[in-house]
Amino acid sequence: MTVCPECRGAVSVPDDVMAAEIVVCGECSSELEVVAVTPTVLALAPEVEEDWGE
Amino acid sequence: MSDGGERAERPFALVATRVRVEERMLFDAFRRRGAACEHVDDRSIVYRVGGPPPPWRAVLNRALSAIRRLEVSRWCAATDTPVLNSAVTLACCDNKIATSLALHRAGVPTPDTVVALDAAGGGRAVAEVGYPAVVKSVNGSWGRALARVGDPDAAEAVFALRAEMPSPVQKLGYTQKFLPGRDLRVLVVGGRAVAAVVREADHWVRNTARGARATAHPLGPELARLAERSAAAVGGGVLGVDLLEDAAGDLRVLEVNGAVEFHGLADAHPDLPVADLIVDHLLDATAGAAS
Amino acid sequence: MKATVLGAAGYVGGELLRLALGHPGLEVVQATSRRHAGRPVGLVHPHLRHHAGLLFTEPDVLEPVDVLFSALPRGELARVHDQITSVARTVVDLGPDFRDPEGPGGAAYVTGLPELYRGALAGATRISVPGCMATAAAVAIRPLVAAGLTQDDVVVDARTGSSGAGGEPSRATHHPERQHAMRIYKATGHRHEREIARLCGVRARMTVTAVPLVRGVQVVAHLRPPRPVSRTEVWSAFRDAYADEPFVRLVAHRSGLHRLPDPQFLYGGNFVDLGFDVDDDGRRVVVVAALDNLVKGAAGGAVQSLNVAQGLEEQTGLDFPGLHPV
Repeated sequence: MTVCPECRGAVSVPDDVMAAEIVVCGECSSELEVVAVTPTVLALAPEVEEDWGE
Repeated sequence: MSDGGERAERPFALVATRVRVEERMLFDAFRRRGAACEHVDDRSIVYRVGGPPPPWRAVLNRALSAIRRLEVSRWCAATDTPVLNSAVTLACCDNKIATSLALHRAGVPTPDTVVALDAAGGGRAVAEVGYPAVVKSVNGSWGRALARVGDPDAAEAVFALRAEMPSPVQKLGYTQKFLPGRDLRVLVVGGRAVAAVVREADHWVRNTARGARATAHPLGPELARLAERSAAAVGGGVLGVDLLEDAAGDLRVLEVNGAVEFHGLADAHPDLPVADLIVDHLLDATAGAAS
Repeated sequence: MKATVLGAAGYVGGELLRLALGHPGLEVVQATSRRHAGRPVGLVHPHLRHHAGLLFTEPDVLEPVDVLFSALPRGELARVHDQITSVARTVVDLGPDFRDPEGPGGAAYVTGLPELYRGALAGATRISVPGCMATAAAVAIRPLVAAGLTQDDVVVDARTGSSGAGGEPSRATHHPERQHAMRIYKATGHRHEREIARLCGVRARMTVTAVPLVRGVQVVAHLRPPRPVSRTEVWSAFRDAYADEPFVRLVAHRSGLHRLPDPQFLYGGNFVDLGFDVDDDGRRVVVVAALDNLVKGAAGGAVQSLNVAQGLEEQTGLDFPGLHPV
């Protein structure tokens, strides 16, 4: 269990999660980016930039 | 290529801003091939011109930001590091004007397209291409900044907004004739069309990013050839070719995507090892470059 | 415990009956109504018609009971207070008579809002339940006042359903006038302002709108912090205040359909849903609280407070979770 940086709620994160994956907090629905693993660190996911896409 | 031997010892790099379903699939495919691959966040890259080359055997470039994506491939090209997709391909795919010119040169059918270099000429461009028209931003993706324009008043409104925008790129007018029809996507890997899907949605903007559903579509020879010619026209690599099929069954290429999101296509073709095909192509290209 | 409900024919009285009849620790002995004395309670409260044997009685003759709930109108309980206290060990008042500790007789009463007064409620025998909008506003505002996250007055925009006006019909509640109303019936100076100020320690400026609901109160409070604050700070303040509260649910989602509290999911339940957002510059906190005015705002708050006072498990008789869809 990891702590949401926005609301400090518990966020369950899969064991095999990788850095730069997105998880969603169950308590406040914030989009969170995994910025580090072991230990898992979460940050509010940055806004989509204007040139993102395929 | 004096460091070809050393390079062979290094891991592959999957450059990605976010690790999504596609990136996870690609990492799994690298693992299945026994090829070490590390995730590199494009936002973290800092390099000295003339300094050490990218510390990777080869790069699968899936950065989300078009600008950073191009810079990653540019650095790889400058240091003879094999990369998919190449800077040449990305520069073409990420600019709709470049894509239209390349497709036309290769004889690939596309909707009528008229370009204006500034918002001031946008109205003339739309009048030239005819109504209804679609006005797209030259660099947009994910269905952003598309406007369907039905009459001169609507065109005037769209270009008045464009004229307010800060950058000259945003003021470029790229207009196409709006054609009703079905939205198809073909995945082309290493010059070979692999699979096709049709994308359905209630709204005419049918990117899966805006909620469309992708279902499997048969990959007939005409569709496959057209997709392969389009991929070659923009520089080749791993490409998502978007086509419109009208009521008469005629095909026109709308755009080519250089960092293709393939989860919808993979879901629609569950027996197709999409990620493995992509990774295999990178491995082949790498082996070819080293020899 | 034997229980009596005074003023049992009104909406609050009906809710008290509904909850008491389903409470394992309460036995309803009397349900009084002058107007309907002798008739089955199910005639006035159709959802309780299966309690065929329960009839309304005159309020003049009261049996000794352990707890007496009063849903009498303003001024009525004060009038008969001595008589009441001689037959009931515990009195729970849902009216306004004893809400002010400095008003006549108020000093003996403990505020029936366990989230803010749990300690004082333990063992209490005189409980006064706050008004429904004051309950919502106090739950919303007090933790931020306590955390020093507000200066100045707090603006409270309250939206209320029609059941808050009681069971007596009036011109205002006549269906053709009420059904589509968004009538701002008190733009300034609502009498609940004093009650909110008392409960929160900060001046509240209220505007109240009657909206097309029957049950439900939604309160939107605007607070100006003394320095810019973040959402994380506000989350911390609410978590510190309410982390273990069985009836407070924090609802402040950044995405999805139902991000902030909506009374429609609270009908019949004792929850108060509490959410918020913060302006990007951190200079305004918007807090939203929603509850069922007849439950957490009245009868449910009363039963919950009684549970605390009697040392029962706080959620006894208050299991109903609300409905969706409604």
